[in-house]
Amino acid sequence: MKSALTIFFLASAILQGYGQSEPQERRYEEAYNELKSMLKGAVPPSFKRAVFISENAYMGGTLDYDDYNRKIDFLVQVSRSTLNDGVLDYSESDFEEVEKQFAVFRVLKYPTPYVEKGENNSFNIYSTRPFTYDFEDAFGESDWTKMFVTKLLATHTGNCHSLPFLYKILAEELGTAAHLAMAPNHTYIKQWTEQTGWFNTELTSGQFPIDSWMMASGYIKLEAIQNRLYMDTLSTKQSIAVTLTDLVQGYQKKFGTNDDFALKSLNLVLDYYPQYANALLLKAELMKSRYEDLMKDRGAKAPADLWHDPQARKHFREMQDQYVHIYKLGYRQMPREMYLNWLMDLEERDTEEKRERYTFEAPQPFEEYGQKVKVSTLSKGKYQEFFDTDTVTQIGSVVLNRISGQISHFVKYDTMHSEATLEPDVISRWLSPDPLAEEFYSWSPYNFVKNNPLRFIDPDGRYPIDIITRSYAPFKTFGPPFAKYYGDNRGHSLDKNASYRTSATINYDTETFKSSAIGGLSYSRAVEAEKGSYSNTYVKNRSDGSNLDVHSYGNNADLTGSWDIDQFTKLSVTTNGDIKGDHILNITGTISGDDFPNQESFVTDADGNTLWLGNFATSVGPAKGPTWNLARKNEGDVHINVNININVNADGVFQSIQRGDKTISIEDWNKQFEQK
Amino acid sequence: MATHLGFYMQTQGYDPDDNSAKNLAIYNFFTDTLKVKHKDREQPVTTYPMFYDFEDFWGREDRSKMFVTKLIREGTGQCHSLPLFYLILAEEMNAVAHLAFAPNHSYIKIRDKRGDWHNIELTTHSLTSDQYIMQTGFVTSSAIASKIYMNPLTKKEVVAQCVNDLMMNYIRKFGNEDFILEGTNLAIKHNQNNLTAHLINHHYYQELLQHILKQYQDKGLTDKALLQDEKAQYVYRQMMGSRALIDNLGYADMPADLYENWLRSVEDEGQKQEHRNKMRTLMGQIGN
Repeated sequence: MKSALTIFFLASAILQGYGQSEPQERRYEEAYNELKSMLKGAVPPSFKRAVFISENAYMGGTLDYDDYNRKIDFLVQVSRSTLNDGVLDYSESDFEEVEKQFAVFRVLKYPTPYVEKGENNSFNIYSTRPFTYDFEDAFGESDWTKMFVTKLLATHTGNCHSLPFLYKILAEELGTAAHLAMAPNHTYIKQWTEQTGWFNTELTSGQFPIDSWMMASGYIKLEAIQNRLYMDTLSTKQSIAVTLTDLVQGYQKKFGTNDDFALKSLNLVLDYYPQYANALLLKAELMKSRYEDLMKDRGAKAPADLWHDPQARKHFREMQDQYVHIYKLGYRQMPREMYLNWLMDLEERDTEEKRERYTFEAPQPFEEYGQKVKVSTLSKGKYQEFFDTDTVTQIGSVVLNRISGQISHFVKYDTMHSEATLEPDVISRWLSPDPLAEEFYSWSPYNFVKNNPLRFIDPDGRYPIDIITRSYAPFKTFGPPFAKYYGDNRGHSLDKNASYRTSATINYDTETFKSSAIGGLSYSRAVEAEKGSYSNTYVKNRSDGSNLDVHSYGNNADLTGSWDIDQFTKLSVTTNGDIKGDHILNITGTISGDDFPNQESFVTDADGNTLWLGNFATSVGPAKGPTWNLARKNEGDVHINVNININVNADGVFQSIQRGDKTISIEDWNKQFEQK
Repeated sequence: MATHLGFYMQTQGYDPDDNSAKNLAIYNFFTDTLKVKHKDREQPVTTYPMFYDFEDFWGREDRSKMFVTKLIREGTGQCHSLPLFYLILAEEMNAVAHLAFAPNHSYIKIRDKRGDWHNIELTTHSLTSDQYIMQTGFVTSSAIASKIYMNPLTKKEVVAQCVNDLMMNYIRKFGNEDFILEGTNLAIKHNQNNLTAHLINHHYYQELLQHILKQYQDKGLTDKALLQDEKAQYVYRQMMGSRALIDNLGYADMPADLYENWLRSVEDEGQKQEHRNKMRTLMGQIGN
């Protein structure tokens, strides 16, 4: 099934004369020239531009560069707005760099709030939509646009090609470095911090796998790492060479493999990135395809039938050298059995049934003398950890004899070895938490974020709750005449997207007793002014297990020296009864703080059900309030007492409120607070 | 020992010119009890497997714990002396074997007839996969690419490493003196990416800088004077330069909790080993 986007692409392409072959090829020539001038240094290299050039050539020049830039700029703005929000607890001297890296990660993987101007000077707060993995045709076999960043920007779904590309683009726009790194059929991000050194960001799963996991699960041979075939950080020019390879692949999908343009482009790629596995293989396959054409022309059955012709023999040797070169760099194709083990892992996650795995045996170097020795492996037979168990090995569509260093025979490209044609599930070996988790040390470069701002969606049935404490100005405008600002112009509200002055979201996991707090972002604009400013809510999470204690505060960033609005959420959260069945969630404590402006607090479950904890309406008028009630040190003026028993089902979904013997529906409960 | 292994190979019927056979003989010498009839002796000669010595395995209290001579004398050593002794035996028998490093560790790499590599882990008497080494040692891909770890060393590079050992022994005896720079620079000359030499250099300059700063403090000299002190500036630059070099080589400290886990597992093994040693003594007493 083609995605709606593709249909859109095609429709717009047809309108603009897509399908006329000559301008198409000229467009490719132009794209090649622009990328070439970047590689040669004639124009400053830009990865962002290079990606666009490559994709636009495939789309027949129908993509809009301004639109592409606008979408990227927007994400950069939102990323930038999260800087200095105080959630990153990191003390090394490269704090600014790490915060930028983190900002990009957040905006790609998690909903991030931002403000947009509405009608009549109103301001709305929205959240970004996270970018997720598109399982369908993850290698662009039937639809090459699946690989595109422009597709990712339009649909918010992408793959292990487009996601790290966008990450790199955003990081560079934000002024920090992010390197692409290659693994077999896979691209990921490498970055450096003073605290952790190099670390890997896996955007498909949002995890940070360590190198030994990449090596073992990716079937990467030691020599391939030594020769920088895989797992190395790519330079800017190497990254541009990757986009040129993408250009070639798109071209080949349109015009066929065997073409001078493809060969010329691949040679240029290899000038700048000589150990790029993908380009090396494409070139070898192209050479082989030419040799096969020659065989067909002359009616030869086997490759050796043409060797009497010195010209053909030379061609064969050059092609063979190319394949041997790839072999010597350490490239090996993953054995089919290893894929099958992966498949079974994934299947078994949903069923009780256990199936027999293929167990890999380690080679015995002293076998000829009849002695077996103990071999320690990492996966204990689950992965193939040895690469050469046979005298022959397949590289692309040829079989090499490892001993003679010569091509043994040609094969049809064995799709069983390629991830491209396997079930989409298989691709998720990069997505899934590693099945060998217990063998691997796991860590995150952002583990040091004590107030973990990422609200994890819990895969194993735990139920996290969100407690949101906000302050808002109920007035249309407020403040003294010389500093009159637009207010939120609303009453108490359970709407997560309602506008506010300060907001803290406390995410608490009732099973692990872990909490995290994240501060919001509000927009303040003076009535007299053209433009306003964004104000952060800062949070200090002093919680201890189930005793939540969060101080949230922030001032009007548009008004230098303005007073903080302070709020203190101090709640104890406990469960009563078996958490796997119907049980009670008890929340007790206080929400206190400044008595200006209004305050409100509510709790939500994973299904989005929302319950009032309490609210407070200020008695101070809009003009006097901020200068009088905020300037005084009276932060304990408000006391909202909370004591609530919530009936919760096995899935962690709120059912009703328990008051003694009485059960109150969620709707009725919430009504009480709105009447207040 | 090499003669002993020559006789051993004869009795086993191993091909005396085969590299794999020679390595197998050495491997068995390290991991097994060999009772071999020598041509010129009436009684067969028995050798016992070499075990890991868990006591002071860093050689912190007694530097000679790291020595091959100690290993030969006592039959126990660690990941420094065991592979070196292996190399010595290989050299005596004209066998080809290589030394390779992992963080705080060294092991043996050999090649089979097809040219494929195998890792020999003498401390645990087994072979290991590369993935296993990478995971247990927390080896990064950049360290592999710069070849500071898991790379088979040439003989010259091994000698360069012996120079490092000499320097470290020297430091233990006499402290960080200028002389050690001669040694490390010689080692670096023969192996650009010699991590140990760069680390020794870094520590040397670090200590020197601390010494200078202490003198400034003791003599009440001002920061301004320090800024004008070209020699101090030079020492600082050298210290930072060696640090940058080490970073670029992909050297990374193991995360602290991973390291602790590892230490704990070593301790457990140590207890098992102690038990084995006791058993052996007891068996000796009952005349087995």
